Order: sequence, then C-alpha cells, then structure tokens
Amino acid sequence: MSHPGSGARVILSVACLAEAEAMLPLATGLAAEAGATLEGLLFEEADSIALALVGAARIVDPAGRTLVGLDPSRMGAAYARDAARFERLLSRAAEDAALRWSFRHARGRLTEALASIAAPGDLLVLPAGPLRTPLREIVLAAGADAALTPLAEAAATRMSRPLRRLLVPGLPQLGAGSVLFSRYEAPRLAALLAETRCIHVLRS
Amino acid sequence: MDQIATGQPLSARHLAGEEDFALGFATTAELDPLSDWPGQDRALEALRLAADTDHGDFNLYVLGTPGTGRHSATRQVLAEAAARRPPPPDRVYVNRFDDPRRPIAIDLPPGRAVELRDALRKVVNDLADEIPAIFESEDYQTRRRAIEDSYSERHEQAMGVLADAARARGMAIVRTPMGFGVAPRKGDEILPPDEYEKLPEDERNRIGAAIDELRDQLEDVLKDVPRGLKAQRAEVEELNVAMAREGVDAALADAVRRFADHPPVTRHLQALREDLIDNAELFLIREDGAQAGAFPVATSRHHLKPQFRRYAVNVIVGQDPEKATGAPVVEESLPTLANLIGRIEYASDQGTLVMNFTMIRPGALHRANGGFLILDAMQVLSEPLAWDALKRSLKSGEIAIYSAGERFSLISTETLDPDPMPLKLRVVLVGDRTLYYLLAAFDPDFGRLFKLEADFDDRMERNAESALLLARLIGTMARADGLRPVAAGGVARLLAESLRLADDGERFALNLAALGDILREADHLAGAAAAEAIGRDDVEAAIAAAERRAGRLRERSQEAIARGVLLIDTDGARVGQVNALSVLEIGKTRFGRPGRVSARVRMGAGKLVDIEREAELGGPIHSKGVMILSGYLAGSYAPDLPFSLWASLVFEQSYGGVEGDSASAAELFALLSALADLPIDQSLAVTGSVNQFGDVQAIGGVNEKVEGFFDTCAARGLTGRQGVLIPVSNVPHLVLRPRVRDAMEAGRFRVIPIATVDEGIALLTGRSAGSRGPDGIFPPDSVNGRVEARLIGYAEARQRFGQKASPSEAGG
Repeated sequence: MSHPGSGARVILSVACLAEAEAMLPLATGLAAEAGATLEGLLFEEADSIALALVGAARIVDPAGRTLVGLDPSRMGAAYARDAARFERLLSRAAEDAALRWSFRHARGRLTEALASIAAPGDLLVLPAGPLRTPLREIVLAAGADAALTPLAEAAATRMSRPLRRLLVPGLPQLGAGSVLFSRYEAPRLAALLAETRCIHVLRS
Repeated sequence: MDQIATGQPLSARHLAGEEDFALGFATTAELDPLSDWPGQDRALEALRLAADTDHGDFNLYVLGTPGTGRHSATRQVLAEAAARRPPPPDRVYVNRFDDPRRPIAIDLPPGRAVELRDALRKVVNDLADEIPAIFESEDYQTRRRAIEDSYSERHEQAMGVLADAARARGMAIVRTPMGFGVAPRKGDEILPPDEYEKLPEDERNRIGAAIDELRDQLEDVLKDVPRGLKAQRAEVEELNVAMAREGVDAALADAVRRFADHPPVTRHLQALREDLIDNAELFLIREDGAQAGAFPVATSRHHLKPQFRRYAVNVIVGQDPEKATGAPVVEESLPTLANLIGRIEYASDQGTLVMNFTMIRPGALHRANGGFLILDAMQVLSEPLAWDALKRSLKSGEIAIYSAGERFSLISTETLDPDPMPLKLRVVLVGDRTLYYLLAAFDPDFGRLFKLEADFDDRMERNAESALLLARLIGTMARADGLRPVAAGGVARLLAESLRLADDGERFALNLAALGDILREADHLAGAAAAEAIGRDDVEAAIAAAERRAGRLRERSQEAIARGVLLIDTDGARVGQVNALSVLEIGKTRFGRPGRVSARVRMGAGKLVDIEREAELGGPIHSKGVMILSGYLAGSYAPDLPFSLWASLVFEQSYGGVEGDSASAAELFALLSALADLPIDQSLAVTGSVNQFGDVQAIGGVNEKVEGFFDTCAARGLTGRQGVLIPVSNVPHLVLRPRVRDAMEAGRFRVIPIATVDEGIALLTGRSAGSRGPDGIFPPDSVNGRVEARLIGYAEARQRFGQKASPSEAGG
C-alpha cells in the first residue's frame, strides 16, 4: 500500500526493470536507514521514444541480438511491462522491509521531471550510463551534505563494500559498480548523468 | 522291593513312593546348587559340541518334551561358550555416493561402529557451522568479489570504451526496456526524428554506417557477457571447492586419523570427503521461520537434518566398547522374515514410497552374527518365508535383506540392494521330536545344515545318586525362583511325583516345568502358613489342588457311574461280562475310567466279531488285539476240530473311539466266561494285553486305571474284595496316590499282578483254569475244560449241520 507525501522519500528512478533490479536493494536499504518512504519511478525518457522513430537507430537486446521492426508501440508496451514488474518488486521489497512505498510511471525529460518531483530532504537514486554491474564501492563526494555521511556508511556496512570519501571536489572516473553520494543540483543533473556511468544517490 | 508273587494282592511296600527316599538333609538349603541338568548328558554333550566347534553347518536342533529344560540348558551352555569367544565385529551400512541404491557394508572392530557414527555426526555438525562461516568470511567474500569484479570490470571497460567511441562519433548508447539503443546524438540528447530526416543523404549514410559499426561492436560486447559469466562461475566454483576442501579436510582430519588403519573406512571417508566438497552448498541451506526450531542453531543437531542423512552411519551391529565381552546369544521369539534377516523401512514422501540406507534395520541374524541364535522351530516354520530365508542365509554364508513383497514381485517402487553381510553363527532350533523327524524326512537341506541333535530325555533312572541330584535340582530351582527351601519330606514327595509323572516307579520324569509348578504352588501354601520351608504337606496339597482343578471331567465320569448312567458292577458275578479299564486324556487332564466289556457266543464258522470295529469305532491296534484273541482261542482249544465259534465283543456304553490293546485281556476273559458259562466276579477289574500264547503283557496308564476303578469302588464303599488285575510287568510302574496305597495297606482294596490268562481267569471265576493232563484233556470242571467242551460241541454241531441232506437230495 502506498502512502505518498508522508515525510522524506527515497526516489528510485530507472529506465527499465534491469536497472530497478540492480538498484532496488540499495534504495530499500537507504529508505529503511532514513525512515523514508520508498518511491519507485519508471521513467520513459523522450530519447527512448525518439530512438524508435529515428530511422538509423538500432536496438540490441541484452543477449547481443539486433532487434528489427522497431516502433513506438512496441517500445511503449515494453515500458508498460517493466513498469508493472517494477511495481511488484517494489511493493514486495518495501513490505519485507516494513516501508511505506509508492510508484509512478512517467514520460518526458528526466531532469525536468525530477526537478519538479524532488522535495528538500528527498534522496534521488538514479543510474548514469547504459551498463549496470554488481555494486563494488560506496563513494562519498567531497562537500556532500552531512546527512549523507551516515547513510553512506550504513550502505557500505550493509552491502559489505568499501566506503571511499573524496577529499577533492569534482567528478572522478567512477565505474558502473560505484555508488556516489552527493548533493542534488537540478541545473547540473543532465550534465552529471551524461558525464558519469555510476549510480548516484543525490540529496535534494 | 520284595519279590512279586503273581495272583497275590500287592501290599503297599511293593509300590514306589515317597517312603523310598531316605534323604540325608533337613532342607534343600543345605544342598549345593546344581548347575547342570541331571539325566541329560547326551543332550548336553551335543549342545557343548555345537557351542564349541567352529565347523560350519554344525547347527543344532534341540528336541525333547516341553518342560525338560531344553531352553534353560541351551541358554546356559551357549552363554558359557559365548563368554569364551571373542566379540564379533561391529557392522554398519554407509552410503555409496556414486550409487545410493547399493549401500556399502563395512565391518569394524568391536565397539568402533558407534565411534565412527559419532565421529561422522561430529563432522557434519562441525561443517554445518564451519562451512557457512567459511563462505561468510571476509576472506571468502573478498576473494569471490575479486573474481566477480574482475569480470564485471572487464565487461564494464568494454562497454565504457564503446560508449566513449560512440560519444566521440556523435552517437549515444541508451538503456531501454528492450535493450541497448544506438542512435545519433544532438548535444546530450537523441537527435529528434524530424531533424534526422532533414539531414542530407550522405550525412544520414555516414550516421547509418557509424551506427552499424557501433551496433556490431555492441553485439560483440553483449555476446561476450555470457562467456564471461560462465568463466566467472567456473572460477567462483573453483574458489568454493578450495574453500570447502579446506573446511572439510579440517573437519575430517580427526576421523581420518582414528580410522587410518582400517582401509574400508578410509575408502569411505575419501568418498565422503569428495561428496562433501562437491555438495558444500547443502551446508548453506538455512532454515527459517517455524522450521528453525526453538533452539539456537549452535545447539542444533545438524546431522538429523534430511540433507545430511547421506553422510550418516547406519549401525547395524554396534557394541559398547566398555561392555563388549564375548559373542552374542540372541533369542528371537518372533522369527518373522523381517525379524530374521532385517528389513528396509519405507517412508511416504508426497505420495511416493522412498527409502535410503539409514532405513535398513537389522534382523536377528545380524545381531547374533559371530555368536548364537536360538529359535523356536515351530515358530520359524510357521512364519511365511522365514525358514526359507534362514536356510538361504546359512547356505550362502551371508545375510541378504529382502521383503516378502520383493520376493513375490509385489512391489514396484524403487528399492535398495544393500551389500550382503557375511554371516557366521550357530543356529539352535528348539522344537519337539515330531517336527525334527518330519524335517529330517522331508527337507533335504535340514540334515546338511543342522548336523547336530541334542535329544533331551524325559526320564532318568531312579537310584540314590539320581534322587540326590534331583533333590539338588529342586533346591536350585527354589533358590533361583526366590522360593523357600524345601524340607526333606517335601523333596521326597516331589520325587515320588516325578516317578508318577514318568509313569514308572523306577524312572524319574525330567519334566522340570511340572515340578516347578508344583513347587511354586507349594511355596505359596507354605507362605500362607508362615512356614520357613516347603513341607511335605504343602507339596501334597499343591498336587491335590492341581488334580482337583483339572478334575471336572473325572468327577463327571465317576458321577455317571455312581448314578447308574454308566453300568458298572463292583460286586456280584456275571457270565460274559468283565470290568475293563481305560484312560482318558484331554488337555492336562488324564484319568482312568472303568468300562464294561461283554461277550456273547454261539456256533458259527470261526468268526470273532469285534463290534467296535464293525461300527468303525475301534482303532487298528484294538482290532489287532481282538484278532490275537482268535489266535489264542483257536490254538488253545480243540485244535484238531474246525474252529466253529461265532462270538461278539463290545465295550458297553462306549460312544467314542476305542484304541489300544490294553483291554484285550478283559475281552478274552469275557469270552472265556461266556464259553465256559462261568460268572466273573464283578468286584474285580482287569487291564492288560495278551499274546497268542496267553501271556499277559504290560500296558500304559496303569496308575490312572487302578485309581479309576478304586474311585468307583470307594464311592460305593470298599469291600476288601474289590481290586484290579494288572500285568505283573506293570508292577514297577505303580506309583499310586496315597488314598489307594492306604486302602491297599488296610486290606480294603487289592491290586493283583497276573502273568497269564489262566491266572486271571482263575481269579475272576474262582475256579481253576485247568491244564491238559497226560491224556491231553483239560479237567472237565476247569474253566479251560468247559471252554474246550463248548467249542467241541460247536464243532460237532456244525459237522452235523453240514451232513444234513438238502431237501432236493431227500426228494431224489
């Protein structure tokens, strides 16, 4: 059962079910640690729709086979299917952890959507880059919000992964298995996602 | 005993009785206990041979009458022999990991089966704690993570290179629910479709070529993922095996060291080690919720969990090393097939019958292996397939476990085929003689497998030495049963009863069970009288009480005579009628009863009609006795003339079968009385068989017969004339009840031994039998003279009858 709007939230934003599966344990742990509502967001990026329309675009499935006959309706159906599965996964995980939860399925530009959704104190969990791998490290950005420190430490402990604290401001080269805890800055989100390939935990 | 004079009444001093025993002790407490069985030397010799020899097939059949000490002697002799033998090896079944249908049988030194079982339980319990700890350890997690990271990094790197190349060429790779998309980029976003359409054709071609190139590379990267995962899994598996091996070797080290000198166990431990390593994940299965139980995991007995049964040791025969002395002596009172050769139990799992090697249960053959197995022969033979299984096991020298269902192909479920266990033991069957002779006659295997017989005698010669032995045995029985000691008088009475049980004043019966019953009842009576020892009167009372309890039929029989329902005369005289005696035996009741035998005669063609036989109530031995009478009559009287007698003989008021020849003397006396037309004294009864020369021969049950007629007479009042004629050869068998002895002593009842028919007929008729004179003729007034005269008369009459002209001849 969802209870949107009750206190701080951990918003897990993904583009597909594979990303949700990879990141849900992290988001659930954060919500449990922070006592926050877990909110799932499956976002249909406008780029993905464009992908189905651009004649030269190609889609290769996870097994390495090129898909033919690409059209927006198939893409839409795939999103709907992933959304339903994501919601089931989310509800099960939240109930197991005794968390309040909500789910939404949205379209448009992610950066714009998050800017409108995120409220102060929310934690945004979202991936950058196309590849997801097992989590390998927790990284706490230099100058990150003080409230993020205990959450990063708890995540590192829970997942038995090392916690790395960055002392110098800026964006290091992080791999897909890294989780970077940092401040949410709406104007810079698009660039942040374009320039990095890790998982981000952003506190607004 | 005085010389016996035939034709004269016996006195009590001629009879065997308790007075004969001069015992030189006050009570049996003074006697040394007897550890042997008197009078059973032959049987004990066979028992000891069976117990001590190591030769195969020297199995033993202990035969004899129940109550002769067969079981107790067998148990004691075997127990003594077993104590001298080394304890047999322990035996276990363990899992054959490469073929669980065929469990492996392993022999172990005595006492080590339980040690092995406990050692492997400890291994499992230890591993159940250690393997999860190993796989949860920082070391393992780090090493595993390093492997996984190396592969994911390799993949990540390939994707990163590809993403960088795409970005450099103005392309984007984006994640969608359908997979990875490759498309032209405009800034940080995908080139809108309408803008793409507006591009010049060569530009679109360039983009298309770049996308196809990137797509090819993407395909390669993604197709490489499964290969990487496979390699990663293999590497993780290697790590797992290495880690598990470390844990398993540590856990098994103690067991391996302790059983290093035992190759079969070492081989099993090696196979177990491989299986533990291969299946280490079994130890990572966690129980949650209600199944976890109330106790913390650390105190749980992990070896009981179903997934660890494969590592169990099923102890089929295990001994406590502290107590393992000697070979086993096992007595199986219910020798079913399963109780004999063992069984494999089934369990129902989701509607299917399942089994495993831990469900193999031992049978008596397993438990007695290396020692002795005592079985009741009748029980083994009456249990389906048990006798067959026993013979198969003895013949093959191994125990193969199977069920009746398998034997008859009634079970279609999967079953086990355990290694047969080697068998070496001595089987002792205890049974009766009939069964022994039947087996010997009809089962060809029996003689080969049971080469020895221990034949327990049911009687022992009476002399001073044997009387003392029996007295000591009585004392030992009293001591063993926690009874009072037996006073000398009590022992003497018991000895007399032993003679009575043997039906022989010169033999003691070795029916220890019967003596024991009397002893226990006498002890009860002595206890009620607060006596310190069992006295003569206690024994007498116990015997009398037992007779009274079993005496309903006897009393009914005597009552029928007393009321005149059964016609028995005990005074007066009558022609052609004599009191005979028979014994009735029903269950534990055995008593004598008088019966009337009558004979009628007339001229005829030499036929003696046995009415019992004609009515099909007479048995073959009875018929034989009657035919002997014909021979006696034909050979003794008027031998030169045709035997021209027709006579009929019958047991009056006898409606059941008649068997035996003990009434043939009485029948002959009735015939002679009828032929001589001389009345027989009805105050006498007769028992004995005769031969064709007129000798009176011994019969059985003489005591009961005498007492039966005595009781009839006593009920009507003893006259002093009443008595019984018995064969003189039966006098040593007389062990009469005190009431009869007392009456004989007082001259109120007579027991008269006779040796010949002439003696008997003279006593019965009061007239001399008569011997042929020098002229070959019997004195005319003697019994024989009157008989011969009657028979000559019949012959002459018959001759005359044959010479009469037929009516046709007269007319001609």
